Amino acid sequence: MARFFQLAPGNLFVAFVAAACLEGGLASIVGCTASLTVMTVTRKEWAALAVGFAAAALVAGVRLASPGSQ
Amino acid sequence: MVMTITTQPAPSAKATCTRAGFRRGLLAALPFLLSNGVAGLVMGVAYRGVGLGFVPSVLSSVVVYSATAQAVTLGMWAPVPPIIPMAVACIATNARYLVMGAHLYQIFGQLKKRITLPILFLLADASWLMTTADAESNDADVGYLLGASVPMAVGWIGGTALGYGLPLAPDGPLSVAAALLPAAFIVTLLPTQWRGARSVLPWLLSAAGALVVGSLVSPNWAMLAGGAVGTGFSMMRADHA
Repeated sequence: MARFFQLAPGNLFVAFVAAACLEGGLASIVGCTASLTVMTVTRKEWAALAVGFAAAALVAGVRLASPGSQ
Repeated sequence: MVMTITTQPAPSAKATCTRAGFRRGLLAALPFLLSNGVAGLVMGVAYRGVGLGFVPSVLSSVVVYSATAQAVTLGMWAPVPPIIPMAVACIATNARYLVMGAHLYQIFGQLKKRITLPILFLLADASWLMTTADAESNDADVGYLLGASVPMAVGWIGGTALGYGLPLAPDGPLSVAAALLPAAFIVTLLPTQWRGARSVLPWLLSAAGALVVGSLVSPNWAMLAGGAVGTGFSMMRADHA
């Protein structure tokens, strides 16, 4: 059982992120990818969150501003 | 088939509750003051959008204190709220806390419940993962969990209150990006769970399982189902943690 509890978190959280990307669409995919990239490189949470947030906001802004959106 | 789950804490485990642990957790989780604050801002904006008052909005973030549950109930909001479907959805989306709670019992099971249970009220995905990681390199310290939880709770509740008064469009780009933050929190914690090349296949299976269940069944079950697929594969392959 202890092995289960130690193996489960990574899998549960990957599934959580995948489901969030499915629900949030392109902005979430780009934001999560950006966060993961920055976190992997810098190991700084605040930087990863800031870059992910900025990337997702940029994509969402472009999509909202583009003709045919809404 | 009857499955017995044993949650007896390991006899060798040494659990404490110290000010040093609290301080360590508080400092480590300070970035969440900002990130949870931004997510809380969006929740406040959304609450105002459905016509909820200021006090009920903030109380919701205090009492429920769950971004997932609050987002789910907001998505199902109606003039006459469907209480039972909302409750089932919240249980489904938060069932992962059974796993987290059982895991924390293995670490802190020796401590008195009057110490651990109030602290567990503030448990969040990120604070659980941070506490688990900290317990691997230091003595298990429930003070760390409390310290890590404080910036998250203050950010979330304070953000909700501030967001309620902000002229931020609920469907604007900043709101869309802020809605991503819970997933981004988890993304930043994923490297601590990485076990090398042996993580690749289980994680791919977890993601695929979540996508299939999220698309065909319900997004509420996607995390649990996907995680079960990947974890089941790891267990059958006899992976070590």
